[in-house]
Amino acid sequence: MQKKITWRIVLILAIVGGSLFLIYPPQEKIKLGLDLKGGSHLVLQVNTEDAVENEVDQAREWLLDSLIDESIPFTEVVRKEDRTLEIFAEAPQEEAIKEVLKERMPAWDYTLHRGRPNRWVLHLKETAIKELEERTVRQALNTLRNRVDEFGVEEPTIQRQGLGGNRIVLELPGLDDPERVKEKIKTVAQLEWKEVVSGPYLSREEAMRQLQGSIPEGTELMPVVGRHSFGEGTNPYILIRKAAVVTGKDLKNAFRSVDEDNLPAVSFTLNAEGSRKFSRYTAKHIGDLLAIVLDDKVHSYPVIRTQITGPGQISGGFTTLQEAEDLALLLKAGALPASMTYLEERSMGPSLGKDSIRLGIYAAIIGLFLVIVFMITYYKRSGINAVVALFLNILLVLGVLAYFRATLTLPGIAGFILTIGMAVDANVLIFERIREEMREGKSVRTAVSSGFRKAWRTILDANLTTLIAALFLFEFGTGPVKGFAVTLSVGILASMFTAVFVSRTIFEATLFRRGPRVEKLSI
Amino acid sequence: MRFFPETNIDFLGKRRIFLTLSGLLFLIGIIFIILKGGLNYGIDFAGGTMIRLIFQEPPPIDSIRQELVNLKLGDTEIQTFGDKREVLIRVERIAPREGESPPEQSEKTLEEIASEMVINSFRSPAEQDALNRGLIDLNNTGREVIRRVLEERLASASTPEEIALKIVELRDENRGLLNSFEQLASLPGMSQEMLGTLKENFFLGSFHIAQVEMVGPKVGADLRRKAIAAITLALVGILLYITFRFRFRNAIAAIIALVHDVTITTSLFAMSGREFNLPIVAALLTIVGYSLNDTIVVFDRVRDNLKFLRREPPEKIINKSINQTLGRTMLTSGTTLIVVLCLYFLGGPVINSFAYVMIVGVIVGTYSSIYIASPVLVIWHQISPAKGKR
Repeated sequence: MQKKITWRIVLILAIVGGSLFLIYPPQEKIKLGLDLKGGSHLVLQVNTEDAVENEVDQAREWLLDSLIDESIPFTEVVRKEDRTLEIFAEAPQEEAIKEVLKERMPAWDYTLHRGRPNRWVLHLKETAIKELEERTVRQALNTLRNRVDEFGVEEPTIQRQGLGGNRIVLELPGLDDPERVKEKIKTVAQLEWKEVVSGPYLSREEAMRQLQGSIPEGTELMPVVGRHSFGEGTNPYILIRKAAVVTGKDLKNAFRSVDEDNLPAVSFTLNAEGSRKFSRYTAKHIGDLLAIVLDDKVHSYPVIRTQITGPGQISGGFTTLQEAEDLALLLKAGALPASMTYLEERSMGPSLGKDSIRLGIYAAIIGLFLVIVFMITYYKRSGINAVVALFLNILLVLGVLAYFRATLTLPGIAGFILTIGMAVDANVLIFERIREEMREGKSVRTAVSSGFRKAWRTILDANLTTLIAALFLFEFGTGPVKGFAVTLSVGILASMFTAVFVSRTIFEATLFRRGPRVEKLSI
Repeated sequence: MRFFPETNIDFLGKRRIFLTLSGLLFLIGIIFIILKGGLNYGIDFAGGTMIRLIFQEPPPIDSIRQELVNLKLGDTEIQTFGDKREVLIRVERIAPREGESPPEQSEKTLEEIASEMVINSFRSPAEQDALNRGLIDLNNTGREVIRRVLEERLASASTPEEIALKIVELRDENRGLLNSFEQLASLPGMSQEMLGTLKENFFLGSFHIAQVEMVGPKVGADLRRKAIAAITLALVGILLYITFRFRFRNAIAAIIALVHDVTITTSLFAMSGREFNLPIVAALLTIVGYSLNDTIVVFDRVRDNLKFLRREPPEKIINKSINQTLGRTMLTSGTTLIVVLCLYFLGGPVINSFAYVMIVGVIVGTYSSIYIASPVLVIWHQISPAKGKR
């Protein structure tokens, strides 16, 4: 008997020691949530349809190239608004086109409408779309991680919301200037070099007039945001080929610099692949214009004077050095595969959280004090036993939270205070049972041991149902509410240990010390 | 000490009265919520924009209200707190105005536009002017910007990083507001020259944006669905667990009591006019788990008593069980009530609504374990007597 008690006491002391070790020093070990520390919680939706649109555009180019490669005569390849492609070709080409589609366009289904000429309607397969969307979200996730790292946010969390789906949750603690970072985060930063077909034009209307109302297949009109020759207050447009010469994917490095007029600019270098494409293209197009396009806006359209092999520069369109530096950061971190929309944003400065923590600690101390007073007046010396168990419970909860690097949120503090009230419930159930057993005339020892035994089942059932609810709460909740579910669950589990195991050990240890004949119990 | 001596109250004799009463309350609650056009959803569920500003001086609320009306942002709410320097503005979701096209993709969301409009409307002409001249509001900027300005504009600044951090820390100590540049003079490492540079590039705005929350319409609708799913699934989980530990009839009795608790608590919450937000769902789910504790204490005793007192009619056994466990039920609810009351009175405004739900829930939950769960069990036992198992 003595051995068993000694062993239990050692275990309890070890747990106390372990918890203290885990908690100390609390400022470092207890991680505060965004609502206490300040920071931003952002939910972004990846507009995956962008990526699908892009894919369709690229597929058209690929299809054109393939048909030309195989020297198959065709009338036209049209990209439709509903993300389908249509090939018009004469009947004799049927077999050859079938072959091309099978070989080169495996992600596409087609239907053939025979006629004069034959019309082939191509659809991107459902599975291919799914896969593309999945890839897009994962790429976006990666890019966001890079960007957040570039901006130097400490301990950010960036993850997908739920399983699958196209939402991304960002938690950026300690962010004190959310507006600036927020803007940058969702910038697509898709850098492309594209062939200028014609223009620039003074305005969109002017461009449409000169193009006689229709934009040729495979090209598009794009606004010019950088420096241009039309003067202030105009919004010129330029006609460019959709397919890019080189894209930001081939970018090796980017950094802030100044141009020849000493205005902010971004210099960049390309990787081997990009340099090769670039130099081959510029060699063939000396004297032509080349558009530098960032997120579907033309920043500048320099004349290609010689074959370009070395590093390049983006100038125009920046008003401050900060802008140029931010763009360089974004380019380095990589482009987003699709645009993003903010679905939810919660930003909080650190000053509010300080108030909440102060009030929370205040409420916890008063609550704890009242519960202690009640337990000791109502259960006398046994009440002290419960209070010891309660303190141990608090210690254990904090220890577990620290160990799992769980975040303490404002609702989490509420959950913590709540567990102070709930933790003694188990003690109340046990003590009432012991009193009942004693009223029935059982000896102190028997009453204690059967009190614990009988109350245990009730405690288990009662606490497990609360745990079930907390589990669903955890599944449902975001940030702060999750914090509540965690503290509540840990609190309940810890109270089952302290109120039953620890309390019982204290009872038995004191009873043991008082010798074999104990007639009274202060309860 | 003993508050609850052995009682012998006939709880179940008047069960019809209490069941009817509860049923009525239940119906009134639901009708009330329906008549009010649903719950008063906060931005978590309804979507919209919430901005918390801390002003240097208590702002003229009436003129703020007028400003907001002028912005035509739809339903707006204003609240002030504490010393009246803290102002909370809530703007409902705005729809694009007629004739205007919705903002283009990847441009700003409607919520972002609304928050900018609100914040800008509080800027005094002097502040507007400072912004136009390219000055930065030191009360609403980050240390990264301060560092960069010092670095770029003052070659002699030796530790811009540290100074920027200290400025921001001092500001946050004072609820996010500096009221004069002279406050900064005493910071270690601050030179006259540096102070001069700060004055040239920054101004001190009349308010600090302490919190901004924007929730898009999709998120709100999603959350509503998820909240209902979470509560329903928790109830199903509990149903299964109690069926497994007790009997199906106990589970049904417990669930009826829980639905009663959640509905009445929710309707009492709605009557208080408070905003229904995420932490409220947390409180409701906690009530689902917690109010069951008392019920289980009674059921456990019923299970024991059924073994020993087989001859007695179930009504008598259950009534005896309630009496035997009455002390426990009251005491456990009491200790929890103590801490929830502390939260309610001391925990601050954010937790206040949460604590309100917990207080109501704990009381209703205790009541229902005696007057709902137990009578339902009696009725079931009368319809189909226990077969001696368990």
